[in-house]
Amino acid sequence: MRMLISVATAALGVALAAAPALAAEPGEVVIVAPAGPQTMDGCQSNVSSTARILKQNVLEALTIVDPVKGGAAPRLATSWEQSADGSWLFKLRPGVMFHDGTPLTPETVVYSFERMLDKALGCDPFIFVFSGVEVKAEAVDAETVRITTNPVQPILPLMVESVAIVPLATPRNELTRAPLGTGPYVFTNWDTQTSVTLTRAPSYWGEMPAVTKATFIWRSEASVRAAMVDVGEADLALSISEQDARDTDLMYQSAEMSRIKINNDQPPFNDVRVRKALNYALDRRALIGTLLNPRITLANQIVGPSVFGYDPAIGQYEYDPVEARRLLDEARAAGAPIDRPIRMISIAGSSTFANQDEVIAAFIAMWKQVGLSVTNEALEMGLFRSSIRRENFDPNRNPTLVFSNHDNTTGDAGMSIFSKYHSSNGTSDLPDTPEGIKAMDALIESGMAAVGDERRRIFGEAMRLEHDEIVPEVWLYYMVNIVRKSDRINYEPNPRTSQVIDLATITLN
Amino acid sequence: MLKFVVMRFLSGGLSLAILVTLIFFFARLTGNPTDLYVPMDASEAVRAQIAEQRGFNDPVVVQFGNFLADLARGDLGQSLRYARPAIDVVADAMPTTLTLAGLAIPIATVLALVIGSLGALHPGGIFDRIAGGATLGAASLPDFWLAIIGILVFAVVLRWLPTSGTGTALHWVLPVAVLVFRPLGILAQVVRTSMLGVLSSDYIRAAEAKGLRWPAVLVGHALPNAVIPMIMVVVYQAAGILNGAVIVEVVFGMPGVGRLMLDSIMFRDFNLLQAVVIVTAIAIFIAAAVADLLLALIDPRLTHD
Repeated sequence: MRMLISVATAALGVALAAAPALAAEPGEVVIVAPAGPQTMDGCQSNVSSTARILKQNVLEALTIVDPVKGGAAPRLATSWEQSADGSWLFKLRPGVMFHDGTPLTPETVVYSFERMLDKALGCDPFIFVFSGVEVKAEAVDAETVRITTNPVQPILPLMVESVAIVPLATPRNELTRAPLGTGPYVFTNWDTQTSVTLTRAPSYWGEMPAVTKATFIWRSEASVRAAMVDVGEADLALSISEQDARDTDLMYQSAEMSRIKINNDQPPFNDVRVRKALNYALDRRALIGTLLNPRITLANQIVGPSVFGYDPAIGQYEYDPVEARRLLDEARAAGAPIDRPIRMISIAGSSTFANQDEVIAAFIAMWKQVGLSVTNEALEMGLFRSSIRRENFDPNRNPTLVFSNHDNTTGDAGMSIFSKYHSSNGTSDLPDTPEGIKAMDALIESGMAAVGDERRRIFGEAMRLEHDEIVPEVWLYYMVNIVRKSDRINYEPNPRTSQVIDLATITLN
Repeated sequence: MLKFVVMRFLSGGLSLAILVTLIFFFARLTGNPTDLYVPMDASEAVRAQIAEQRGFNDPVVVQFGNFLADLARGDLGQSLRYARPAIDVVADAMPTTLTLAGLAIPIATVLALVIGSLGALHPGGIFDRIAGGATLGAASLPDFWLAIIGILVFAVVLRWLPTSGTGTALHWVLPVAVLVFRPLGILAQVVRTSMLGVLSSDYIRAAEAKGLRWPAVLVGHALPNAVIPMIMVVVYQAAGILNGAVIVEVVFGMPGVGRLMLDSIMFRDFNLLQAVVIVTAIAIFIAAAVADLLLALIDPRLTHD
């Protein structure tokens, strides 16, 4: 028996010794995210699981988006100006070295643009930001790069934020799994199944950050992420669910808004009165603080207040079931088939926010109150994506709503307005008449070509028209997100936190 | 015996070929994956280009021909999501799943043998009743609930174990414990039922009449016959874990095959899906073949056909 006890004690000792270190080394932080990266190349700068590790930490671009005020700020370029011919000249920061010891030169910038915008590589900057735009980068002198686009891009300084500048050692025709950049952190290790490690770059050109080593790990389950901070296994846990949140967690306005698209290909949705009634019938405020986080706010345009172009003067469709019924009665009298069953589609297994299913059920009940019969159908993601393309609309289908979300992390409303309302996009929502489509396209194009206050005015005008007259959607909410942090660190989340974790902004207690 | 082994491998190979063909065509029935690889806002030109580059525009029969030609060279293609060879992605995930199965199944089997045998010794007794209820409960408890409760109790409240992840021996305790429950519940019921039948056999009574002691009767005579029906159940349970203990892998952040398979379906990563299915099918085929051989060794009558 004595021997048994000895063996048991020894086993316990070994087990405790093998227990994970609950306290990280000084200077080291552990960040737990909902999903791990699939790739490790700046080419995938729009995939949040990759971007939040690399962007601004390992890889830097010519400019950076100001996460609070929006707009472009200097990073690897110290200044920029537009030439008379519409091209842009970017002056490079002197003395910057890549992690492989080679210097930042105009040639490396040209190489990075050619690589990132190579159609064959299909990088995110090419697909998301520069789609349909011809780009030519060329070295002007030892510290200046000229970037010419066709058509001319007035917000090019903002757009180049998506192009990571990499050294010539980065493979040209394939994705790298060992990224090299100029950022404050060196990519050190990627255990594809468990973690990514970054260590502070000793020769960084800027101010030396406090965090010396960062380990990114991933857990799908929000309650597990939250528990990891509680027991000291992680310092920062992203995307804490409403149910697991507590008062000490940090909430922030994310760059995301939720919306329900109204496809006007089928009656009665080709009648603007019905589209307005869909908005008036929803008591969105009643769900805030009950089913939804108390800090969620009502949306009324495609971008939130932190984005350049947001128009604070646009009103709200406040809950008014009487007005909704009146509009529906009017439309019915004019021949609109109000009684047709309405189908709403959403993505199966994907929640834009906590309690999404309950919120959808509540909306369907509210629409029923005013006489609209809506059923929700959750589709597999691929089917959902093909179903929302106008070219795939079945002429005999039911009137269709699309539960969706949109986020703008560029800081400029142009990207959102162009992709959601311009007719060149296969999923955008358009005015009812060809003249209306033409006019909206022209307005958006003029906004994309404008700068400064004129740009803001035109975008504001486009979003006001969409809200007051075209009504292609039901505007729902500007979302908030929740993170949990340990007492070891100081960190203030911002609207881009879901996409970018700027390690340099973390300080240690 | 040699003929038996050869026939077993031939039938396994045929099953694998049918499975590979079915998975190829069924995966493509879900549609063109281009929509998942370009943003919803992408222009038509970009969509067409991506589809063309990745061969999604080729007729399915051409795609199948290419797939077979690559397969003959041992090339299962690139994973679209991971941008690396699909077989490498599966090879990274396989050790985790094999470890989970390799720990959970033996533990469940040994415990089931003990609990089932003891229950069968005194059917209707207190131990049998408690064990019967407990094993039935173990077989019915949802993995997800068990996993979350396990984390709350042993990681958050007691702080004895890590919440999740891999790295030390302690990281495996909770996931394996959760995975043990269901096979244990099922196997214990199988052992009990089988043992009850064996214990009432004439040869057991003869062994008793010879004056053998109970442990010798139980271990030497009853158990070898009682485990025969259990072996295939063990293999089926192991196959379940090899196919992916999805919930355990998701909750505990364990990078296994189940999660990979689910993601490859959700994101229409055909090459990865095919690689996962082929590798797990081979693993299950090997497990089933070993079980067959084991059964043939225990009961030579099985090789006569």
